[in-house]
Parts: sequence; C-alpha cells; structure tokens
Amino acid sequence: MTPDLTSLTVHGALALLESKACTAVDLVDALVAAIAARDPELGAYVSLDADGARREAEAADKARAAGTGGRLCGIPVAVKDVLNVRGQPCTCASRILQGYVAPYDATAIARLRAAGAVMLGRTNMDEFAMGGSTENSALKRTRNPRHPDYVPGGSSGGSAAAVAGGVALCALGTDTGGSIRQPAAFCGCVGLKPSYGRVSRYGLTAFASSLDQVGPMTRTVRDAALLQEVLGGVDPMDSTSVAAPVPAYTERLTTDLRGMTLGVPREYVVDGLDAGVERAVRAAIERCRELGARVIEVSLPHTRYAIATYYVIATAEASANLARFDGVRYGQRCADAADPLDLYERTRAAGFGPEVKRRIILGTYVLSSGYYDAYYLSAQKVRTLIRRDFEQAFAQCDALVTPCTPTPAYRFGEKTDDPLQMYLGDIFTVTANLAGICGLSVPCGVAGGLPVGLQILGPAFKEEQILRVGHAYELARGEGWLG
Amino acid sequence: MEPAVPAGIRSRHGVCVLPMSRLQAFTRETGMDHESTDTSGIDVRYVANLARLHLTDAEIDTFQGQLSQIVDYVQTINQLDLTGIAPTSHAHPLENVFRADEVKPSLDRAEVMRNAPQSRDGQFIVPKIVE
Repeated sequence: MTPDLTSLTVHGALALLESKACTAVDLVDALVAAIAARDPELGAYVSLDADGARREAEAADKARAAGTGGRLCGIPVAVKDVLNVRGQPCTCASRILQGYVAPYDATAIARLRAAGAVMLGRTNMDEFAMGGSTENSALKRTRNPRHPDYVPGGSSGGSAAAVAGGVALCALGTDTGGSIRQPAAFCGCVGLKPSYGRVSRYGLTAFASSLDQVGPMTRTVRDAALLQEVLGGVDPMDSTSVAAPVPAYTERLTTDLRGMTLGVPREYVVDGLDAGVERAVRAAIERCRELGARVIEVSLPHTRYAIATYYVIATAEASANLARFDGVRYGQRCADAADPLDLYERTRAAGFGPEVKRRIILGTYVLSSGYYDAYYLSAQKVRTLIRRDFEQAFAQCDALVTPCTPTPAYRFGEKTDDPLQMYLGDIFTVTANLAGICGLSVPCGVAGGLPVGLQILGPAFKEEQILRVGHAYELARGEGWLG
Repeated sequence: MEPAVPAGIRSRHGVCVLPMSRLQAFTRETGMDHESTDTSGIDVRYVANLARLHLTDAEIDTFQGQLSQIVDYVQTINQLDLTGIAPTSHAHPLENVFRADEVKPSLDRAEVMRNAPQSRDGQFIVPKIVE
C-alpha cells in the first residue's frame, strides 16, 4: 500500500527515500496535488513553483542515487514569503513588492539547498511580518487548518497552516516577537525560534534587525532539530551571526528528562489567560515531571513591561528598515510623481497596508526629536532588565516552560479594529526576542477544540536543551493530542 | 485657565512626557482625565510627514485614536526607575567583526535592474530633482 506522502514527517520521508519506497519527485507531486485540492480553501501559499520544484526533485533523486545527496536530499520545503529565493517573487505579502523577483538566495535558503532540499512554494504572512493573525496580508486570507473560521496566527501563518494542514512537510518561518511560535501554537505544529545570531538573516527582508530570526516549522521536534542543524551557523554576510559551534541536535534528544530542571515563571499566569490553555499547559508540565524533570517556580519580574518595550523597539527598527521602500529601486512606484518627495509619499501610501503604516508612524515617533529618550532609550534600558531576568532564571534551571499564547486561535476580525488588544496577545513570546534566547512551541492539547502550544524557552545558544525537553514531552504526549 | 504643569514635565505640542503614575495623578487633580488624546502626545499628521508617508484624513483620524492609546500604554515603561541601567541595542553585542578585504563578485547587474520601476543604461530614473 502506498503511504500518504503528504502526512509524513521529514524523517519519515527521508526513510522512504532512502529505502527507495518513493522518490523526491513523488513527494513534490503528492504535495502539488494536495495544494491543488486543499489550498484554495486553506490559503497557505501565495505562490507555487511546481515546475521548478519538480526539476530540483529530479536533481535530488539523481544525487541520492549517486550517493552525493545531503541531509535533506529531496525534502520539499515551504518558504515564508519574506525570504529571498533567487528567481522567485518575494512580496512580503505587501502590494509594494508586487512584481519583485529576488536576484539572490538568502543564506537560510542556500544552506537548505546545499543539504539537498527542494524549494516548493511561498507561504502567506502578515505584511512585512507585522501581525499575529495573517489578516494583515495584502494578498489573501489563510485559514486555521483546524477550523476554517479561525485565524492561523501570524505572522508565519501560511507556513504553520501548510505544515499542520497537510500541504507541506516542513517550512521556514521568521520570528521577531513570536511569529514562528504563535502560529505553530494556533495551528498545532512545532515551531523553533533559534537564539538571536544562530541563523543568518542575510536575504531575510528586515522587520526589526535586532530581534528577527529565521527558524523551522515542522510536525515533530526531531524534524525541527534536523532542520536547525542545517540552518545554523556563522555567515560572513550577516555580521550579527555568531560563530558558536552548532551541535548535532538530533543526537542529543532523549526519551526522558532526568537531571533537568524546568522553571515555571510565576508572572506568566496573567489576567486573561484562557482556562483551557492553562489546563493543557499544566498537564504538559506535569508530564515533564513524570519524565524525570525537577520543576521549580522562577520569577521574571519585568514581564509586565515586555509588550511596551517590544513595540517601541520593534517599530523603531521597522520605521528605519522600511525606509528603503521608496519606489526608486524595486517594487511598485506611483504614477506621475511631480518630484521625489511626492514619489516617496504616494508610493508608500499606496503600497503599505494599515498595520505597516501604524507601525512606521509609531516607530518614527519614538525615534523623533524630543521623544527618543522617553521611549526608545527607556525601552532599550528595560530590555537590559528583561535580559537580566532570564539570566537569573537560567542560573536556576535548564529551560522555562510556559504557555505560548494566553488564548487559542480567535475568529477572523475579532481583533482587527483594536491593535493594542492584538499586541497584548504577544506577552509570552516577545521576551525571548528581546533577550535573544531560543524558544520552541510544541502542541500540548486543545482548548475549545483548538490547539494549545507549550512554549519551552532556553538560554542563548542552548537549543539542544529545549529540543530535548520538547522531544521527550512529544513522545510521552503521543499522537492523540488533538482529541 | 490652563492648570499649572508640575515640574519635570517636558511639553511639546501640548504633550507631557513623565512617568505614568505622575501623569495619572496630575490628570486626576486637574480634571484632564478624559483628554487622553492630548496627553498622549502623538501628532500623526506631523509624524507621517517625517516618515514620508501620505495619509488620508480618514487614516489620520483612525490612527490618531489608535496610536494615542498605544502610546499611553507604552508609557508604562517610564514607571520603572532606570537610573544607572545601560541600554541594550543587541542581545549578543559583537565587536569588530572583520572580513578579509577581497574582491568578490556582486549581484548580477542586469538581474538587479530588472526590478527597477524605471531605468535606463543600468541606472534608476527618478523625477527631476534640480530645476
């Protein structure tokens, strides 16, 4: 009997490829057929390169036959539409980049290619990665694969929906304040945000340069570990990438948690924490205890200032990064500009959506003369306090376990008129970006029929610790978590 | 008559920048509780101009309300005593990242220029700058 190729894990697909039970072309064909059947409703992809993917798959099959294939030889990958893949569009789900064709590969893409991966298609997102529901895409709506009336989360909502919805085996996302972990939690897949500096940002369209990271979104923690081994490492094209050795994460995974200490931050029990989310996360923590972990309470006292700090720093950096979209060198340009100023103002007015405009204005304001000290400089100082909170917590434990989000996915339109409410949903995820540490979201049950994510946070460059916790938990949890 | 502004408040465009606790005490004492858009201090029209972003009147109206609320919220960071705390600009600050001074191939010029909205002879065309 032929297995359903679209429901495989990456490791499962590699085993079939290795045993010649299927080819890379079979994988691409199965996914392209699944996309044709399901994606008109799901809306995970914004573009598909079926012919290109098939050609790359043929090359991968030849390489495997010749014994020269890499670790991901023949594995199709879906890519968030914010990473440059040479010869493909990269719209960042924005009107302003319609028509843009990337003239180079991002380093993350080059590393996947070198390992033999196949670039399948590009996934939907909030415009320029700004948002938590993918409703800010200028291109299309992406639905939660578990319930069509609910958002998939964001900003990497297309990647999460593709992996959880059966139209991708694995995907790349990016995470500036939770944009890998939160959609993974909402859709029910695994999402890893590596430590800042672990994965090169070269070729990632910048949102907030001191917070952005590229990371894998997968169906299992073991798959995330494998992709992260390929993605990680220093890159001369990104001087903020760090030259720390990348461990063989897949070899460090264990089935128990003996000898590990897990911290539960007391500040993460907040008003508005959904009872079903709390229940699922508490049960998951109990499961980790049964696996041999010691569980202690820790304190992250500056948590309540994290959202404010994040939205000052992220918008400040975004306002500077998005200055490049001016209608001169690439992307859309307004017609009949009278002078350069008119060109910039009208190109940007027509090209950016409301959330991007809001953030550019907020970021410009906090950097403007007279306000810089009160907002931007203060926020950078609070960032120091948040970093110290984590340093002190990690002096007592190997990893922190928390809910990934205060609530499960919500309905379309529920928060679109109230941006502040939308921002407050990021409370458990933004701290990892501010502190530069690593974080993982693993499905741990349901609340109201929708997936809940267990977030595991670890010290900077200790991805092996959170992957170990996530893997052991995932094995103990088993397959039936969706109920 | 304008209420007397407590010492330490810096005023610009009718804006107060001070710790939230003091701001709230001041607005209570002076009966300014409900004038939140005035105390929050963001002038969307002015800032949009700095950002080279044309906004419609309707957008300015919407953003003024939303961003005033957000600016009020982010002021909570000024409740903290930040004396003597060094700012963090990067989570893992690196210094002096050097590379060898070698000539390497750049991106293909023709491929890059294909993305230009308007170009001629390998150069970008923009509206006339000097009369």
